[in-house]
Amino acid sequence: MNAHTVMDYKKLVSVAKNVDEKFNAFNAINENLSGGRPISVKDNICVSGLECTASSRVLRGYIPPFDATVVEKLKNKGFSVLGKTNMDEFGFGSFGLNTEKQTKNPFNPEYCAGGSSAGSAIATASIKDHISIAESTGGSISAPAAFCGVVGFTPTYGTVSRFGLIDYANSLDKIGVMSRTSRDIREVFGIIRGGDERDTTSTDREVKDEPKRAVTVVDNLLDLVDGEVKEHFQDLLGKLMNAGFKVNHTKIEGIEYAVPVYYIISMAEASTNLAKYQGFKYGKGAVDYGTDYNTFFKRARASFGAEAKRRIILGTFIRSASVKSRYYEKALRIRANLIKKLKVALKSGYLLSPTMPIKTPRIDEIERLSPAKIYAMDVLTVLPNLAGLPHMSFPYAYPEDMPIGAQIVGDHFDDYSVMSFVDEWEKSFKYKFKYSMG
Amino acid sequence: MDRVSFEKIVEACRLPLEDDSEKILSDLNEILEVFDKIDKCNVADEPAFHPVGIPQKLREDIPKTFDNVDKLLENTSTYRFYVVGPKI
Repeated sequence: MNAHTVMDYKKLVSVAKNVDEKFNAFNAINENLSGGRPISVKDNICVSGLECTASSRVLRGYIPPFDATVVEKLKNKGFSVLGKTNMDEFGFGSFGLNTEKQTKNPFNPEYCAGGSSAGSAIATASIKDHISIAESTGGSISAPAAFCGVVGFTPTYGTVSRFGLIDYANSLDKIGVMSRTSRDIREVFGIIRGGDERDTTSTDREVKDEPKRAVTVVDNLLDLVDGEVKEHFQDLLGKLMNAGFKVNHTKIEGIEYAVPVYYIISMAEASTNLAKYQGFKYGKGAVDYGTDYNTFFKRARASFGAEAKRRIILGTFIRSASVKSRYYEKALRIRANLIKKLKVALKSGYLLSPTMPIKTPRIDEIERLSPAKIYAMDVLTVLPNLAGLPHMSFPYAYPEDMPIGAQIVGDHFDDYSVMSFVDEWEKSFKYKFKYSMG
Repeated sequence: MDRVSFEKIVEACRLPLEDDSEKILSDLNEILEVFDKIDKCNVADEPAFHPVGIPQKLREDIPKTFDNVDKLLENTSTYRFYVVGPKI
């Protein structure tokens, strides 16, 4: 990583502005950056003194007076925040389009950057030696990492404190890291991991580094992948076999339920989390205090985007007494069942799949799809997220000059082992960056 | 989801939908068709409220003084040291 001189900081801020102008990467840029190792932070993670909106108009003007635990830990180790990165509103999206400033792919701005941590992936792909703190609920690190050609790491649930994160779905949210190399991710994860008394679901449990020489492909998951992506993935398997990896194949019964189970749980949790945005506690909403209680709330909550409204309504519906056992409770049981099956499959080595079932789509292609069709694109990323398993997306091919990514998954608390796999991959494969400044 | 349930929930959520309610209801029903797939799955596992078995930690119930209350209040409209809200 570069050491930055005083002059470099001004240049870096100007580079960030340029990247933002071209690809809508940032929600806020720290104009006063003057020291430390620069890092960007997804805009749903609080940084003292920088506006934090999670790309929602509901939170416009909210300036946290505190740092999230991850930010505090990084600042204590000499990092400083370059800016807050753009994202789908509250993390609700897989393509970086559910935001007022729709994000663009740095390899080709007519294509999607992926989401929801779109800005983190764009900044990492566009600024040399950049590292970004991102967050995943159902694939929000892996998807943009794959589409923008960077390495994206999502840790075991609970290994990184969520204090200071604007919650989407508490049992699924995980703060992770994006970078251009697994080595940088290892360093940053070493700083941010660990238990925190302000997050009761965080843990100090030991994280292992026990590299495996075998990968398992879940064949009925691979059946859901687009033909061309599958062909490139077969090439990747060939390279791994040549490098001495054993490639196993298996089938996991019930994976077709992963997408509905993920969306049922995440929407149920999101609808409760979003109930607190009422217009007067976070940011000064432009609302009339003279109106009655219901009118006041309705006006304030009109600021939610379409996807947020859909998830609030559906999440509230599936938690209602008449259908709770049919949807929410059943989904939690299926999640338990899938976790058991995944852990059995992981006994033979890592799980490996393409990260996304399609090549990077054009923005206009996604805009034409219905929400249900868009959700179906998460089929490969929701499984490790539902199970809280550590996983990493890394680039492995560039058909038609666009990157595609593969996703390696390890068992709980095997985070460093997952990084070791990508360390080895990086010894024989050079990543490409089309627009790289700084 | 029928229109009556939809309108009841929208009201409970205090979400103004204006002209796009037809489109939203149709999208929601398409999504619910996807959710209904889980009806076919029969599992007897205990619900996994969290994906990893992390023992619950509880804090001591001791009042604390925060030194950044003024900063927190900067995010709200205030009268003296009260947060201003709507009439009840």
